[in-house]
Amino acid sequence: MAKQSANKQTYSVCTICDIGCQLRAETKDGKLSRMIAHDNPALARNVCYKGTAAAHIHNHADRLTKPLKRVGERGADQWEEISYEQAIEEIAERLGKVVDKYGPESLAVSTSGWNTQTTHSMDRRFMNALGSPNYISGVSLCAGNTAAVNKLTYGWFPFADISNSKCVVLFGHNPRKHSWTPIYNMINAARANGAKVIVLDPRVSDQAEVADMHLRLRSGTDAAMCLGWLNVIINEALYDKDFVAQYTLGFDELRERVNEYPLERVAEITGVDAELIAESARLYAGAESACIPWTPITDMQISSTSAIRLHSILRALTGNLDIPGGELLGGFNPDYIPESKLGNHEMLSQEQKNKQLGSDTHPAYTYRAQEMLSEHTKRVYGYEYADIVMGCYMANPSATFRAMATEKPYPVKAFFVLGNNALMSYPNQHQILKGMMNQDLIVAHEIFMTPTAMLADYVLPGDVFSERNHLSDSWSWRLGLTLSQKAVEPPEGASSTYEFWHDLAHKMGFGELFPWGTIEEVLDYRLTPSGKSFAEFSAETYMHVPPPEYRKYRKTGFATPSGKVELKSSLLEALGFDPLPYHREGPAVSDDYPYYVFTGVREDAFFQTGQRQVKVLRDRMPSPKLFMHPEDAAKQNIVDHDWVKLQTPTGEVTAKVLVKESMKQGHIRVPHGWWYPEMRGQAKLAGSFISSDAVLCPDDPEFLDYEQGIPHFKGFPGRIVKLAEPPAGMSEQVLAG
Amino acid sequence: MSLLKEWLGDNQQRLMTHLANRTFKKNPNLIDRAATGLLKKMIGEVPDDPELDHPE
Ligand code: SF4
Repeated sequence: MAKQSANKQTYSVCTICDIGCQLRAETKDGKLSRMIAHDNPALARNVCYKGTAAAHIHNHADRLTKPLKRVGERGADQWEEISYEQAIEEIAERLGKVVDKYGPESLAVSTSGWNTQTTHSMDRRFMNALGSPNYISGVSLCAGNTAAVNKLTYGWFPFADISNSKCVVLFGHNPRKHSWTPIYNMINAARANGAKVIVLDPRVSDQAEVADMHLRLRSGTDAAMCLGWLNVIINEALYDKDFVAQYTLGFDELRERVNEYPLERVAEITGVDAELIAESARLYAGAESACIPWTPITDMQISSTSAIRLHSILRALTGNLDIPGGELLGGFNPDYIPESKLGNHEMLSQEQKNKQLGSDTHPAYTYRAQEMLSEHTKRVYGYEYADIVMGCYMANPSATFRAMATEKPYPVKAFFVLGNNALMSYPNQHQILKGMMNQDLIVAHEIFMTPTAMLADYVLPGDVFSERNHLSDSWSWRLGLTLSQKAVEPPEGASSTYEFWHDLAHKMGFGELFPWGTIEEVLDYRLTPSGKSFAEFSAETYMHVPPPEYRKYRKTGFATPSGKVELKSSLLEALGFDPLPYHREGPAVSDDYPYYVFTGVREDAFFQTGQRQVKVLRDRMPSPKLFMHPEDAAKQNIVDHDWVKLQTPTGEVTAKVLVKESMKQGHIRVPHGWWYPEMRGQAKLAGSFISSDAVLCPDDPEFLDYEQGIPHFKGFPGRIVKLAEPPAGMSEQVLAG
Repeated sequence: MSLLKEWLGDNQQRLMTHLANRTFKKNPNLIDRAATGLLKKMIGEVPDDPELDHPE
C-alpha cells in the first residue's frame, strides 16, 4: 500500500510546537532524514532545536504504528493489535450505543489542533452532525480563550505586527531562541529598528534581561497593572482622542472604573513602584506604534477575562488597532475557506448548543456568548462564525470533566482525544482521571502511547506533519497561507485526524457531509476561492501573504453589537457580568502555604507534555526543575538539585530545585507536563502523577475566572518540603540530570 | 498622524509584502530572483547554528 518517495527536499510546516515554522524536510530512501532551516533568508532564522529533531521524533522506535484495542482493565496498558477497519467499525457501533442511551451530548472530544494540524474542523463537523456541543481543547487555556475574549471588545483577535512596531510589551511572555522562535526573531527585528521593549514579569526572564523597562509585578496581577496604565493614559490624556471619540463606546464609564485604581493602589497590588508604572505607561502610549502580543500568562489567571480585555482596551485607546506596527485585524483569508466554515456550526440545534457544558456559568468562549456576535461578524467579515485559533465555541474543560466524573448535569460517557494528552493538559488531573475511569468508550488518536492513551479502549496511530499535505492559515489568526508538503508515507496503520473523522462519519451514516475522499480533495475545496488547486498552489509557491489592508474599521465598523470598540462590553452586561474590567485577587498565601506558585511553564526542549521519550531532546532537559529565589531556598535549607515536593491543598509535584537569582522572592515556577515514558509498566500511568503540574491548581468554582472559568495558574499558594532521598524508580538520567 | 504619512507607511508595508511573495516562488523569474537578492541584502546571511544540531 505505502509507496516509497524518492530522495527529495520539500517544505513542511513544523507542528512540534504551536508556532508553525516552515522548514525543509530532507528524505532518503523513503524516510525523513533531516529537518533543516528554510532557504529563504526571511524565514531561515525561524527554527529551533525541537524542529530540527523532527526526524528523531517521526522515525522514533516507540511511535504507534498499529491500532490497539484494550484487553485488560482500563489503564492497565494491555492491548491487542487490530486492523484500522475493525477499530472504526467497533468505535462506530459503541459510540452509537452511548448516543442511543444518553443522547449525543454524552460525547466529549478533546484535541490540540497544534499537534493534529489537518483536522480541517472535521471534529466539529462530526460533532455538529451528531449533536454534541462538548468540544474542549488546550486552547481554552492558551490563545483560543484570548481570541474569544478579544472578540467581545472589537470583534476579532488581532495578530501583533511586532517586527514593524516601535514598542513591544511582553506581559510575562518570554519568547526565546528555542521557544516561540519566530516571535523572538520579530522582537529582535523590532529592537534593531529602534523599538523599545517593556517586560512585565515577576522573573528576570531572558526578555527582561535585555528589555528597556522591566516591571517585576506579583504573579497573577496583570489586570491591576493594566488598570494602572490606563489610569495614567486617561488622566494624562495620552490616548488617541479622535479614535476614542469616533470608534469607542463606554469611555466615561471606563474612566470612572480606572479611577478606582489610583497608582498607589496598583503599586500595592502588583508590588511595582508607582513611578515605574507611570513611566512605562507613558512609554507605551507615546510610541508611534505599539503592540501587546498575545501572551500565555494573561490567559491563565483568575481575572483573565478582564486582563485580556484590558490589553484590548489599551490597544484601542492608544490608536494601535489595525495599523502598521500595531495589532492587525486580518479577517478570513480571501483565498481559502476557513475552518470556521468547515465546522458547520449552523448545523447544531439551539437545543443542543444550550447544553454546552459550562456555558451557564462561564460562557465567554462558549456558543452562548460567541453567537451573540454572529450577525456582527457576518456584517464585517462575511460569515457568522469566526472560530479563530479554534477557541471560540468550546465547552468548559472543568465542567466537562466534572460531568464525566459525576454524570451531572448529565452523563458524558464517550470521550475522544486526538493529539492531546488530556489527562495532564487541564487543571485537576485527579478529577480528569476519575472522569475517564467512568467512561463507556474512550478513543485516543496519538503518535506515541501517552498516559491519556493508556486509559483508552482504542488507540489509533496518528500521522505526523512530514507525512501529509497541508496548507496552513494559522486558524485565521494570520492572513498568509503556508505550504506543508508530504515528504514521506505514514506507517501502514496510521491515519490523519481528517481520515479518522471522515471514516467514522461514513460508518455512522452521515458520510454525505464528508464528501472529500482525501486530504488533497479537502485542500482543493478550501482553495476554490483562489481558483487554484492544491497541486497548482504547491507548484507555484511555498507561501502567500495577501497585501495588508489597514484601518478597515473605517469602512466596516467593528464586529460588535454597537459596531464600535466596546470599552464597556454590552455582551458581558447582557450575560450578567461586570461590563467593565476589574482586578480580582487570587487565593492568598498563608503560613501553611507561603509561596506563590506559577505553573503551565513551557521549557525549550518540549512542547506541552510531549517529547519526553525523544532522546536528543530529553538529553537537553533530563528532569523536571522547580525554580526558587536564593533567599527562599536558604530559608528552606535547599540547594541546587535537591529533590523536593511542592504541595498545594490540591496535590503535590516531585521535582528537583534550581536556585535562581532571576526568580522573584516568594515565587516558585513549575514546569509543565512532566511524565516519564521510561517508567511505562513500572509506575501508574507512566509516572504521570509524580511531577505533573496539572495536579496542583484547584478548579473549584471559587478559584475560576468568572466569565471564562479559567483557573488561576499564575500565583496560587503552595509550600516546599525537602526530600531526604530522591524518589524511587527514577532512571539514572533523571537522577543525574 | 498626517494622511500622507499614513498613506506612505501603509504602502511601504504593502510593497514589502509584494516583495516577500516574489521571494516565495518555487520557479522564480528574473524579477523574483532580484527580489530575493534584495531581501538577502537587507537581511544578511543567516549563519549555520550549531545549537540546532543533534549529535548522538
Ligand atoms: S519554534 Fe521550533 S518546534 Fe516550534 S514550530 Fe518552529 S521549529 Fe517547530
